[in-house]
Amino acid sequence: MPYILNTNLQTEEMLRELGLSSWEELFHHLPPQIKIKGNLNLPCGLSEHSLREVMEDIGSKNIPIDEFNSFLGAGIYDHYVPSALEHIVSRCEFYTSYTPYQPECSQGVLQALYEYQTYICLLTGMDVTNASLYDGASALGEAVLMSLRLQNNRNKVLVAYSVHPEYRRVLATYIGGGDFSLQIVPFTSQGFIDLEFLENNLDGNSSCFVLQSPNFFGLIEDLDKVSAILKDRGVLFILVTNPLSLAMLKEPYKLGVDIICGDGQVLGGNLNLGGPTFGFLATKSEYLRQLPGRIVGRTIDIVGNSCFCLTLQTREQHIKREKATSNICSNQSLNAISASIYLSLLGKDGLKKVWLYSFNLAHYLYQRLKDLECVSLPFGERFFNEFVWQIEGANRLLNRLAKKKILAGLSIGNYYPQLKNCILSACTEKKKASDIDELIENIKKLV
Amino acid sequence: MDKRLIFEKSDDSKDNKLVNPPDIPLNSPESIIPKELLREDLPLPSLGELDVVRHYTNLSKLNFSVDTNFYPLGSCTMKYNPKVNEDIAKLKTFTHLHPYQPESYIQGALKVIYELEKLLCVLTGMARFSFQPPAGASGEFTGMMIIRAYHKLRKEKRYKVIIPDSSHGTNPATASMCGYKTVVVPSTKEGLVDIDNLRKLVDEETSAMMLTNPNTLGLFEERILDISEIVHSRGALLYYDGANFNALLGITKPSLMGFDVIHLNLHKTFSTPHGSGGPGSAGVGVKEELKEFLPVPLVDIKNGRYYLNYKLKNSIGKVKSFYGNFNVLVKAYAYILRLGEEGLKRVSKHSVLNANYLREKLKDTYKLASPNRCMHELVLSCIWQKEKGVKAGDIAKRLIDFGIHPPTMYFPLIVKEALMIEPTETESKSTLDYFIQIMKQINDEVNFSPENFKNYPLTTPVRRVDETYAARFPDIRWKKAGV
Repeated sequence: MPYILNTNLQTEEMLRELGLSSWEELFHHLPPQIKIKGNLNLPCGLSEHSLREVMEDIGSKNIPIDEFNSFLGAGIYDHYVPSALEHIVSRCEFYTSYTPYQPECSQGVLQALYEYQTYICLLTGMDVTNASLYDGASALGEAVLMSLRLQNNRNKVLVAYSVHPEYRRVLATYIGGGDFSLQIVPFTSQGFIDLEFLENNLDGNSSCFVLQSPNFFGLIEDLDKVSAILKDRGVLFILVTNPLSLAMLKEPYKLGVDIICGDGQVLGGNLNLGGPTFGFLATKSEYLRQLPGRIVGRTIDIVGNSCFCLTLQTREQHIKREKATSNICSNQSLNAISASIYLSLLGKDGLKKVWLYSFNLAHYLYQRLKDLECVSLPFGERFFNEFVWQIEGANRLLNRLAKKKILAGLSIGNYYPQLKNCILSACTEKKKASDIDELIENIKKLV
Repeated sequence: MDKRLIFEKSDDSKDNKLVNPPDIPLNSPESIIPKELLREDLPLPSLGELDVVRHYTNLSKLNFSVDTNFYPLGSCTMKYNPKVNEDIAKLKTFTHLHPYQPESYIQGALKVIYELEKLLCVLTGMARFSFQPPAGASGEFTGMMIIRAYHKLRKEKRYKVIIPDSSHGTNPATASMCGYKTVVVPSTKEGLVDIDNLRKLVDEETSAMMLTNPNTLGLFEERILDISEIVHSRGALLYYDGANFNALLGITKPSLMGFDVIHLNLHKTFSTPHGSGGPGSAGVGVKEELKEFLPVPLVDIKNGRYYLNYKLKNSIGKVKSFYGNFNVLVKAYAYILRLGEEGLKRVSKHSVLNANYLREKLKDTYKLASPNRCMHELVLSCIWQKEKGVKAGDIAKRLIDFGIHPPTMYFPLIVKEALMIEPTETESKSTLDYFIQIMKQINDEVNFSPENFKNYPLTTPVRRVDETYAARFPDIRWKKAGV
């Protein structure tokens, strides 16, 4: 029997020990009205060999991204994943263990997560972080709830329109349980946040402002200008960011950000159709006790050895129940550990190279598109690795390019009616100049 | 073992040459980005590949896991995670899919989601499922927001959620997140919902009751139909926390018990690994009349093509970006196909048998939390041992010395000195007998040398960890000396 070790003989013996003569008696105390009678008509089980064949066949109905010349990004990016990463993270001691409740037999996971927390703090410049959240969008939801707890007399949340549409949608659900209002702050014709609008719409009821940088259009915002506006009015600055962008961009802490969050898929994660990835959330030490989720701390054992354990658990649901800072229990530990391994393998110089190569390739694509008469570039070139371009009949063009195994980017007109015929395209270090040239040649041919 | 942190092993000269420079002239970031927006220093370590591999491999060896140790952590269903599912989920045709790829190129992935939904509908009797929530607590949040939206649409003002005192902590925390006030219903001395009390608590201001069945004492709520009748008679809905569904596959269905909204933890019942605390996945199922409230998108089929359906009239929106933890769904789907109907029924039978076997063999040594027969897990109360000065936590720590991961401790909260033990169906009688022998041996030690228990465990990489110290002096990240 797959995955059941007890033989019929042993099973009978165990039933006998319980004074039972049949399986039915084991469930005798369930009300008869609710018991399933007869069969459910689910399929029969498969041998391991057949299962593999069935699943490989289903898989063959997908076309993996490597078979395309792809420029898709918009929150999930196809960076190179080092071989050693998959090997390490596939160690059974990591992937078949539970949340490290028992520190004496979980030091491996605990230290790996402590190092993860350090990595996030080093990248963001922040003081404190937790041991991961579900993904970037839900991390934003938690960041905003955290802000609303910190300022419980204020219930208005302002969000930049240039924050990822999926994130804004998740945020709306997260704050849907309370009496909170959400106001959208538009972007300028250059794609940057409209500072004037922001300034005019802040009031004594405003709890926080959410900005993304690089924003959904890839543009790098002037965070210091935003924080200058917010500081005067006691409004918390929440930033959504791409953690890889921080290999070169200034630590958001130094630019006045209060809470930073985002998605860690870029740090060695597979695409996985968008999940699992992991979310991170970092902040200043003064807000430590309002952090949601697990936190790993360094401590000592009874003989004074340095060691690690889950800490500050009095914020959490299993202790505080209805008064907890969040309901989160399982997070995305394995993905967080995976990101630490990625950062360790790449190292300081490797990560900078990934940044620099992605940046240069994206800008090369930008320049090549700029040379095409049929293309216009609505926003400027202050972007990291993705940007928006515009072309008549964008959706049709994308479809035709896809048939030639080129995924040129994401059509964003559905999310932003004013950006009709706009395409968001990204480059990672995996691209080659020839991939970009191929895209350009095909656009020329098709238009 | 070298106990330094990875940051303390750094050597500035390492470059593992993992990526190619592009074949174009490189510009520096300063050419485009104002200097004040660029960082001066990236204080990350540099290590050789072997250094990194060895660091993490050695860390992994400090851990207990299902593959290395018996792990009877109650309510967590630490069953074996079949290797074939891992291999399947690692196929490029599943991992290398971008969420914005056109639907025509992800037909296989959409089929997995669609078919998994159909199978879970059969197993639970629910009408539809969403797999967007990435964990159980997120599933609860999704389910309770659906209930909130349902009442709101009917213009009913209901602000209370009833939760048993034995519930998982996530239940009341979720109710708060959804803007509800938690009302606690006490348990009887047998550990079941106190029906008379429940009848008094449920009223027209009650939105829902959240219930786990089997409950956290491992007991089946035998009066579930009375509970359902009481809750529904006042217009409230019944929410099923499916954390313990492993006991009921093919035995009963949440729909037969009267539940309106449910979540199932795929990383428990459906064998996907826990990954040191995630990624998980929760399927949220609803009855027919609540379908339109589910998160978007759902996967539907038209003319033989699967597509992402965003057109749900009353959708609560989204709780996670894209389509949930897709890669986890692949494993859960493969698991169900592998076991089939008979195999799934066998899961529940053996999980209940294994737990009752432990209960029978340990009942004279440790006090049972309830006189009733248990389902897939049992709760012991170490109060007899406490009288001799040894607490449940001390016993848990001693188990580690025998290579056994401790059960869930001090939970449920209504049982003093609780140890909550869930062996799962994948453990053999031989392992259970070893556990029984060790539990009895530990009780002997309690009788003869209770004073030793404060020192346990003795054989672990570190000794008893001071968690109070950690909370009093939070050190949650490394800092370079002198910074």
